Amino acid sequence: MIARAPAQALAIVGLGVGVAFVHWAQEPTVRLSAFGSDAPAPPPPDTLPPEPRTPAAPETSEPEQAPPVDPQRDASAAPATQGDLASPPTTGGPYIGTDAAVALWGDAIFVDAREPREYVEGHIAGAVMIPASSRDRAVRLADYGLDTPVVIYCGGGECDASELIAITLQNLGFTDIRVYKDGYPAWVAGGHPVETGEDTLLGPE
Amino acid sequence: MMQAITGFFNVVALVLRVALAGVFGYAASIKLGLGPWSADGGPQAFLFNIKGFEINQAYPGLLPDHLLVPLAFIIPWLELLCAIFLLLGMWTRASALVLAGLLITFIGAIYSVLSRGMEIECGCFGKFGLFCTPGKITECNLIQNAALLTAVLVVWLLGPGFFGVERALGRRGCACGRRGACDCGAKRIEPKPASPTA
Repeated sequence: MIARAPAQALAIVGLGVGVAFVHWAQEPTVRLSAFGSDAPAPPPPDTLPPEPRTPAAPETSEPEQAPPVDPQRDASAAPATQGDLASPPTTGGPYIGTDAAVALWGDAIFVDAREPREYVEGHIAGAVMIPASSRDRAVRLADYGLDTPVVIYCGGGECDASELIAITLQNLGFTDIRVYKDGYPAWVAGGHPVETGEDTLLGPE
Repeated sequence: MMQAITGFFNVVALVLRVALAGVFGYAASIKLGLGPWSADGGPQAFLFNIKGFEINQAYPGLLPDHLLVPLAFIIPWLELLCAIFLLLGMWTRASALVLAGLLITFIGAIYSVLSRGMEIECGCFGKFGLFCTPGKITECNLIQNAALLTAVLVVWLLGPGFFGVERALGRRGCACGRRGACDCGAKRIEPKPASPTA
């Protein structure tokens, strides 16, 4: 009985590998990186000058402030903004730093990929919440148009949630996706607009 | 007396293999995105988990990037298959061997991550954890995997115990003492009269 175990174990491994490859063939969109290996590497840690750029709107934490992204305007004006966004102000490629994110703020939809609890405690003003645990919420974002520019951020550092949401949005057909790699901590450190509370655009989780 | 000991080992084997089947079946379901409790799981999320271990960056050539994607499917499927075999009590020792191999790999990977001082998500058991707080990898995950490895090795030693398919077929896999009685379904083996008595 024990003597036969290694052969049976090999059979289990073979079966597992076989089933895994069949499963892989069913989910070809699973990939290592949202933007492929030829995408520019994430920029080095943000090199903002000590004086942060003045944001487009005054800093506020009041929920009643109108979100910077108006769905109607975005849906209709998307082609017009494409030209501006084709060459981001500071950083090219899908990975952007804080200054590029600030420049896009107001034109692009910001997506918070952190957990709902973190979102409620504080997020970039106007950002919508699509955490890794509720990726199906991304479908609701499609109502704003698949060519709407999207900037995804999470907690910075080793956080991979942005990449995960980026792949989810790519699979839905979104074409203009950027990842703000330094994420929420760098945004807060720069003194840019934040707010607290539930997601008013996509609704609560 | 020997029959009592054999019965005890059979119960231990049964309890351990069913518990291990539950643990690994649950872990696999999260990594494969099966079930309503695994909304934050799935192969893509697990792929980012194992990518976060940065094994190839620490040990160049050990785990090339192109192997990570198939591995994100192979690891959970191996866990699920072993869980099913353990639950059935079929190929129990072989499943235990495969799980032991996986656990030794996990322990090595977690030890490597801890020794490099990295703070990454474990991806082991989703947001519910098991005995450890879910989230970042800590020494607790090392101890947890060592405990699971011990349980797996005990199952490997004891076989399926009571209510296994192997047992129902009257074949192998009984939990016998070296010279004790083996109740292998249809084929009952009595202890030799010369065996020591209590």
